[in-house]
Amino acid sequence: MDERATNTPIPTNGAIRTGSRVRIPNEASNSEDLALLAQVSQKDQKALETLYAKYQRVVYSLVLRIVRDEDEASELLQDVFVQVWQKADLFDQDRGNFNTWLLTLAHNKAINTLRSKAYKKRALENRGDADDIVKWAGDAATDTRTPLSEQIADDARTQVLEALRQIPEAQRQALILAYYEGLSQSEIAERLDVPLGTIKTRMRQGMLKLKEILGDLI
Amino acid sequence: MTDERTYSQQERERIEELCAAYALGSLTEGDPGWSEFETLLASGDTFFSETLESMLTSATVLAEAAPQVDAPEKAKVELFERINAIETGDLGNFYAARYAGDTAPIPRVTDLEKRLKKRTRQTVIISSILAVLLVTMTSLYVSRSWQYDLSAMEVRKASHQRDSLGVMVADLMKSDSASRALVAMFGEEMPTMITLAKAGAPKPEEQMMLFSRKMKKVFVMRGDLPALDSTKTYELWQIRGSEAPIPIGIFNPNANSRQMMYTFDLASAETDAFAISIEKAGGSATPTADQIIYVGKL
Repeated sequence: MDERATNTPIPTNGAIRTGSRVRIPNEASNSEDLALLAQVSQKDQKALETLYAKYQRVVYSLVLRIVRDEDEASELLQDVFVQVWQKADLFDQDRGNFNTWLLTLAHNKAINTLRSKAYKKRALENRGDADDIVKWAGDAATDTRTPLSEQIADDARTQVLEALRQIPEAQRQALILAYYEGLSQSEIAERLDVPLGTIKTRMRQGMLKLKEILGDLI
Repeated sequence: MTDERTYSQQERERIEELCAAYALGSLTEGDPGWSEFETLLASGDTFFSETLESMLTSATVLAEAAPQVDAPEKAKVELFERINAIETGDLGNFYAARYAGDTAPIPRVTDLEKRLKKRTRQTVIISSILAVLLVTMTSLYVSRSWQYDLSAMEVRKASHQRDSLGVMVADLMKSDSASRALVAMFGEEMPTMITLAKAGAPKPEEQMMLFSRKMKKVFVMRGDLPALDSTKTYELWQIRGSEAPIPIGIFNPNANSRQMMYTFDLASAETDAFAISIEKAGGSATPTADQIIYVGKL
């Protein structure tokens, strides 16, 4: 069964350090998140509401883009925050940022849904070829794959899209096929008809390039 | 223990490859690099840890590339309804109401009605598949154990069959929204399947139930249980050691009902066996011995 990270948390290795931050909408600090999370662990629903208000947009947008079904995305969004509610007391701030944990959790759930046999079968007809994420920029209105009325590009998104544009196409393609299409390295190699080793290299180089370009954002 | 070793350039690139693949979600358990990744993760190596953190953070940034759109308001409403159900220990009924439409009027009827109908259909389909699977696997199990004495080998076979069924059921349950709701009923925990056998029957007759120790719940499959007349009811019992059987609840399948499963809460998850008896309407405080029709040990 393909359950890559279903139960594999963000590494719980004590050697992992905090420090890097991802700027997200609302620019909330990790310390504020952690304070809210501490309240959530005490079963404070108001604190969860605050976290939900802050992150629902980015989490929903991510899972919607992956599963491309609004009902499914809504369910996944709820699953993610239910897990936050139930596991808040297990989160160790020494082991990573809250938003990294949250978005990794959301990504894993969406990818696992995408990989489930039943979902694959159901979604096959509605799913076109792999997208080039860069197409999303500047022309969101013509994006018929997500029939949603509003697609607002904020500063952070614009910067990420700009960074992706700067990454060589082959590397960008590997990143998107993995992150948004849920393909394994072998599947990407097969789809692009290139050796597996080439895909591994493209992924590594693409991620390093992304980090280099977004140095001030991360 | 932390392993502060020095890596060659080639080794560093290999670690970066593994971490990038993991962060992007493309390193799966079947991949050759998976065990290598796990070994490095367990080693506490600083370079590995820092690389992984960096890759995960970069991947998080990728999430922002998606077209940003607010979640529908109903998602929040449903989320907190679900959380309240978790807190009150009423998740089973919550899902029953949410997906079967067996509930009071719900706001935004037009939109939700469509979804409820869709989910009801999905739930019925999934339940039917589960029922067929249960019957098929039970038949396999019964036929084998009927033909031979349950030698150690046969016990292992039967156990393996149950495990296989468990995997299939888990896979099915994760297949879509409706079935995920079933998984959520068990709190992501795979429940124990219990076969209740009918003692002294001329041919093997069995009844299936699921037991979730974590949720302290049991789910009795309707199976072939016939409807009883209005003066009688089925009653479920929890048996612990030499203590008197503990009454859990009563149920009476209606011939016209499509309900396939009955949910019961347990005061305690500590149990050795379950039993089903036929009692007078309203149930009994102690089981009527000659009316105990099924017994199943954990």
